[in-house]
Amino acid sequence: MLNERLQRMKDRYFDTMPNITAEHLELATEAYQKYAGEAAPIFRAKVVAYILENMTVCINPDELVIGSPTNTYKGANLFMEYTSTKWLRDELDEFPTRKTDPYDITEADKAKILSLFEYWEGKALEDLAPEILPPEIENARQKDLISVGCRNGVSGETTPNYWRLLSLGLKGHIEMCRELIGDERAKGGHVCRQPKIDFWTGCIIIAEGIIRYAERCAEKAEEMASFEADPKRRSELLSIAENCRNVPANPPRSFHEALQFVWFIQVSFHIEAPTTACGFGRFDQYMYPYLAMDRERGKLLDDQEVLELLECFYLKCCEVYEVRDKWYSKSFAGYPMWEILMVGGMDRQGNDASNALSYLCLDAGADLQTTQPVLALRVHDGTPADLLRKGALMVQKGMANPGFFSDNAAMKMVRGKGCTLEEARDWCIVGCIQPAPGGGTTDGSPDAGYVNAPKMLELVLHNGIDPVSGQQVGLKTGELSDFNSIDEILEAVKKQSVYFYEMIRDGYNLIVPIHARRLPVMLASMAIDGCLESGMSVQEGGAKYTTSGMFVTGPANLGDSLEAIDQVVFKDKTLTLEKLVEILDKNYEGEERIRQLLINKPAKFGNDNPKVDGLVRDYLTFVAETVQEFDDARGGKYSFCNLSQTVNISHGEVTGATPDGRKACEPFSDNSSPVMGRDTSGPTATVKSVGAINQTAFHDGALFNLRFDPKGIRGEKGLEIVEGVIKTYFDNGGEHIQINVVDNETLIAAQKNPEKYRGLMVRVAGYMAYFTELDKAAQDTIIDRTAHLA
Amino acid sequence: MNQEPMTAPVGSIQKFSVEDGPGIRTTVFLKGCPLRCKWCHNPEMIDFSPQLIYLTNRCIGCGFCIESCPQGAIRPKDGKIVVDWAVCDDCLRCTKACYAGALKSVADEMTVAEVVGEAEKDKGFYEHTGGGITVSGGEMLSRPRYVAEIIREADSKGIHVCLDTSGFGDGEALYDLAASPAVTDILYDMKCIQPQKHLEGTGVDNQGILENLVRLAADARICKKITMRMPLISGYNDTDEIIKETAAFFIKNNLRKVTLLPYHTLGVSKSERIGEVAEVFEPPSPERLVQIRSLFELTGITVEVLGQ
Repeated sequence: MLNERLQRMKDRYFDTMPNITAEHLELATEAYQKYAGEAAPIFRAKVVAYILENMTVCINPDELVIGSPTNTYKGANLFMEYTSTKWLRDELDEFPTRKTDPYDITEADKAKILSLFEYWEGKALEDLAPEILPPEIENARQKDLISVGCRNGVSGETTPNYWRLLSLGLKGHIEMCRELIGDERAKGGHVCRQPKIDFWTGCIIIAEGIIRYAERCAEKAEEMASFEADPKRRSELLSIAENCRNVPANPPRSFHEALQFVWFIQVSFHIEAPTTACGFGRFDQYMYPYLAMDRERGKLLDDQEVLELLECFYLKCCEVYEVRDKWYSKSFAGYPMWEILMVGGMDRQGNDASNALSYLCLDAGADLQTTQPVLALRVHDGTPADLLRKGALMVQKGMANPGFFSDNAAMKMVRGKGCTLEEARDWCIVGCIQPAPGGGTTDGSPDAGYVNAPKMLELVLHNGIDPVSGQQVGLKTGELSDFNSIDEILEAVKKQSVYFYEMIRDGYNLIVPIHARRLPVMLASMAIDGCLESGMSVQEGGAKYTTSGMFVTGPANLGDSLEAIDQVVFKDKTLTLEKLVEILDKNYEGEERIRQLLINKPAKFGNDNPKVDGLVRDYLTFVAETVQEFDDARGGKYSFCNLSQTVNISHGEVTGATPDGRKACEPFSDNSSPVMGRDTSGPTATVKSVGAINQTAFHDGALFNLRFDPKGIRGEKGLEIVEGVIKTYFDNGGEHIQINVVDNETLIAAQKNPEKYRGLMVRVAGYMAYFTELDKAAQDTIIDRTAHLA
Repeated sequence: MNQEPMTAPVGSIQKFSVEDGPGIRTTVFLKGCPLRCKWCHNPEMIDFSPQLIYLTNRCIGCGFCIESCPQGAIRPKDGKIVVDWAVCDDCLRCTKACYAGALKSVADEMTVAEVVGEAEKDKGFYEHTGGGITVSGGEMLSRPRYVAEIIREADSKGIHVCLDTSGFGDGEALYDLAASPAVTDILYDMKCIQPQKHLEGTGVDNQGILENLVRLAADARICKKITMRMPLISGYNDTDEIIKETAAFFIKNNLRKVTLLPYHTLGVSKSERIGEVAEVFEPPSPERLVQIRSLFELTGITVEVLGQ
């Protein structure tokens, strides 16, 4: 149950529309002009420090943890060093009314932003990208055959080493940088040393900037306290001020200060760059010592006090936004920020690491029921039964939170990245569901790109010609008459896929150096292990472990389509391959009977059928093993992740009819799940199939959405069933499972009366969204997910 | 000995079955039942012979089935088709022509190895939840040899079995099945305690059913496996008199668990699909259900109500 303070705060949150504001851009524009000419790391740090020094400090009513990346409540910043004015100028008017992820904007702010655009014309990374990318890559990207990440945004995806940040404080980090500079200078002058010195200097500047911002917050809180009539709130404001005077400059002296510390870091990430997926890592682990310290002193003994603080912190997590263009807002629908907060799991010695805070973190999520932070419960053999039960209970109640992660599978994945056993046991999520070695060691810039897998088959069936555009965009893999077996077709699909994954690699590897030279992200670099030691930003490859993510859309559609061809063309010989392609090209027009045959006769992925599951596994394993050999531009490797977010909708729109009975333009299967409605053998079979795709070969994991009809998992027995499904999935090699418990009636009612269901949360991909904030296409794909009922 | 493996017509193998015994289960429906319960919710499983089922909502009206039918039993109607059930001889040729899966065979002949092999895929789920295989029907006791083989095969794979039975059939065979250590649960129907009413509602006498039950209950090792299941049909078997008599019988035989199954109309639409017309009944009202529940509970019987 929320207390009155939190209920007021939550109501205010729901009653406020996210809004784009001008202040951050105005200050950034001033800073860009003021500091032009500095070396990139120093320049970037000074811009951020300038913003931190001059931005409006907001302390909202009732807050106990303070600080915001913008000057308004639920505000969103624009970052024109990344985003092109070209589309933003055109789309600015549409933001309040666009279908996915709308933003309010005042007329005054809009006018201000438009006037600032003059300065930014042609300066964005996004303006450079088309010149950098070779024409065939840009062409494939524009046709949605692939995507190439980080063309208009930062790689983001930072999970800091909070143990180090908290234990040293930012002053400790400044000290460390000064020593590193001193040591480097002592080696004598050399041009090879200056980039490092510039980097550490930048780190000092940004750390000082954040400390200064915290002081300004303290000043504001003191000022507000002096006018505050309510003695209770006055004392709260004064203790907020006291916290801000101490952190993040120094190590926290209490749990409350530790929360404030973590929040200042999170705010600063979102002031420096249009970042997403800055996770909290193993929050229950690095925060628990502060709670224990308080409790030893007789403070925060009542769980309700801890929950109030945690919930204040959680609500802050809901206030950050990244403004995305139309394509990205459709492909990542529902304002996702992927602020993952992990609890449970084992420690570095392999013992269960859960503590009192693990439980409280789940309780706070259950009380508040907001889309951020996204809770992740690590599960291993030693996980206490009551912790798992707490998670199962939340899921049964329809909260769609937490997501469940297998230590076993994740450890194998991160070992594949080359870390130690201890680091593997301490794995944490970087991004959405991607496991990384030992808390805060890894820059796993996840978004290198997505390959449209069913489109690869479409190209193979047209000898490399995209039937939509008529262009020869793919490899010539042979005429239809050349194919005599499904193995030959699968081989051709693999060849075609490699061609496009290489395009992503080549494109992404051209983009990343631009980030390294122009847009190093200083705070993220300071927060991740390895960068301070090496004197290089994460963009330059400074992190201890560096990986870049490759993804796929529609693997289940591909598997089902291959099996359909095998059954109907090669085995039953009901159709020739030529005839099938002719039918696909006319989008099953007048061929409903054949479409029904293709839907009903061949086996489908998601029904525990070894043959079709094997086709999906074969393809994904091949892709993973291939791309994981690729070198990224920073000396790291690529990692494969079976995840689509909602890119399965965008990619589906540009793909013709497929042999699995899917009509042209319809969405693909979501993430690792079977095609919607084609898993007809119940959830156990679905779980077995998804567990059978060789996930541990994918260094960045596999995202799995499962939906139950609430009637299927009622009562005490329902909890046992949910836990049994999770455990069996993990026994079968699954890494991650997230469970939506909601029936169709509720979802359809929410589509009709959104105002009555504004709190209804669903798991979309590795994030949650309010169902009514999704556009109809995304809502429909969730309704179409099979709702498992007994 | 080179014997053909035994087969039986299996209506479906339903995975993630969570209301037919403990844990996550796989329920095997064997076609064929000697009872004719008027409220039957699986009417397509009654007949022992092969049988056609027509799912209207899946029909796309392509008409290919019409030509395929040697009896001329199918004709077009309103963009779909209708089956003249009086003419249809269940030859099932139309099912081959129907790509949409609208015309199907109710059951497929399967060997014990095929059935248990399919169920074995979910063994992990059984282990985590205390589940297993449930053999249901139709009436599983009509095929005691086949069921015995399922139990033996399941046991060899370390899978527990639950029997779901009306109790009508060979008492000796039932006792043997029930006594098997691999059988951990028995769901035993109590349609109606009163003989005349039982005959009216199900077409058979309940004397043998009760005798079989008493025999099982008398064996303490078997008795503890039994959960009684009682369908509740308003005006038929939900009077105070019947409930009290039933409860007394349960107590007398040391049967302490009952699951109440309020009548639902799912069977009515299923009857249409096989060309039959089902009588429609009413479930007891929610208030009445509470009363029935407490009548059982007053005697010390544990009650579960399904479908709520």
